[in-house]
Order: sequence, then structure tokens, then C-alpha cells
Amino acid sequence: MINRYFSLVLRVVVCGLCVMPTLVQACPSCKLVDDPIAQGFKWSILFLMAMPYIVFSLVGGGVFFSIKRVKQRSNHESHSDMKGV
Amino acid sequence: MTDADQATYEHTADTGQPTSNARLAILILLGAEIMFFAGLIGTFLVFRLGSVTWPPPSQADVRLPIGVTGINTIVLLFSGYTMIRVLLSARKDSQKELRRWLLVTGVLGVIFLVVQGSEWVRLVHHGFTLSSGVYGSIFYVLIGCHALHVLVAVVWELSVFAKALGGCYSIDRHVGVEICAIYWTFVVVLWPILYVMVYLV
Repeated sequence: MINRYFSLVLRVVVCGLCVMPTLVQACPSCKLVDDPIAQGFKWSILFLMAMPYIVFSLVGGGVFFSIKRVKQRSNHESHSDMKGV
Repeated sequence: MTDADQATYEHTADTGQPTSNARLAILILLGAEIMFFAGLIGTFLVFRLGSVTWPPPSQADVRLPIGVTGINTIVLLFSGYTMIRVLLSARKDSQKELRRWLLVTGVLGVIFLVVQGSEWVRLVHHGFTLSSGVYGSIFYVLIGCHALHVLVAVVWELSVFAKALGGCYSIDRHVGVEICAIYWTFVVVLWPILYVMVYLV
């Protein structure tokens, strides 16, 4: 019974949003395509969205190469020890 | 930090740590710094792209010192090169070269700050201040935050130089030089981006 009621409400909401699409256009970039302010916000949002991925890549890359260098050094030292023996 | 602590940080292979805590900490700090500057650059983008004319008409008479700052950019980029020489000297255990390149890098950083400061004084005398609308605010906040970071990097670098004079670094123990070099590189790499955005575009 609750599921049927929930399903009905969901259909009404979806149909309503399809009939009035301006309600779902909350983003200023969608509403004001040619406006310079909207363009400014759009590029700023895209830039900030990309930053966490760039930061994680840089920090992850830094840790990765740091570990790689330590391993290479320890391998080099162990080879030198073996030659010494 | 005591010698024993420093040895623990640096002899990562002995302790089983894949990388030193200090190196990891500086990378996380840089992540936070990048996000901080990303926020400022994002603000700049909103104002810059949101304006039909840039600088805004009310500050149309303001002329930023593009030439002098361009030369200053070269000075800072060269300090990035000298910092690489510092790192290579530390890895080769060449104490004399290490001290010399640390000194050169510090001097270049101080030159950058002095030139930036003198240009700011000139701009303020011309009436271009922090309260000169959006243009003045974003210019001084963005460039000022970078200058503050350069100042921190110079103080840090000079403290590393002082320790190098005392012979604190060797081929096995130079993590202090490395993390300072990482921070310096961040400050150097960030500057051309800000210069192109704020001064040239």
C-alpha cells in the first residue's frame, strides 16, 4: 500500500518536472547561457571540480615515486652488499 | 627535532616505512595549499570572466608593472633551478655546493620579494589599493597570498642554510632539504600561473 502510494507521488513529481522544466534549472549557467557572470561561475565551478582530482593525483604521484625511489635505493644497497660478500 | 627523531624520519627503509613522515606531511600540506589557491583562482575567474571589460571601467587607468614583474618571474624561475642544484648537491653529499646553492636560492627569493614590495608601494602611491573595487581586492589578495608564501619559503630556506652551515646534512640525512625544496618548487610553479592570469590575460 505504502509502495503504491510512494510510486504514485513519484510519478506525479516526475511528470510535473517534465511539464515545468524551469523548476529543475537551478544552475545559473543553465538559465543564463549568454550572461558573462554565468560564464564566470561556470568556468570557476569546472575549475574547482577538477582540483581535487589534480590534488589527489599529485599527492598520490608524490607518494608513489617516493616509495619507488626508496625501494630502488634499498635494492641497490642489497646488490652492493651481495657483491661485497 | 632531536637527532634521533630525524634519523627515524630519514632511515625509512630501516623502520619499514615506505616513505618518510616528513615527506608525506609536506605533500598533504601542499594539497591543502593547492586547494586554498584554487579557491582564490576560482574567485578570480568569476570576476574576470563575469566582466565585459577587464580591468573594470572604474580602474581602467591602472597599469600593472608587467615588464618588471616579468623579469621578477624569471628570477623566481631561476631560483627553482638553483633549488634543484641544492637537492642534487645534498644527494651527492657535496657540502660546499649545497651551501653555495642554498645561499643563491635565498638571495633570489629575497630579490623577488623586494621587487614585488617596491612595485606594490608604487601602485599604492598611484591610488591602487585593496579597497579599489573588485580589481584591487582580487589583485592584492591573490598576489599577496603568494608573496606571503614566498616569504615563508625564504625564511624556511634560510633556516635550512643555517643548518647546512652547521653541517647538519649528509648523504643519508637530508630530508629537511628535500621538504624545503618541495615547498619552494610549489611556490615557484604557482607564480607563472598567477602572473599570466592576473598580469597578462
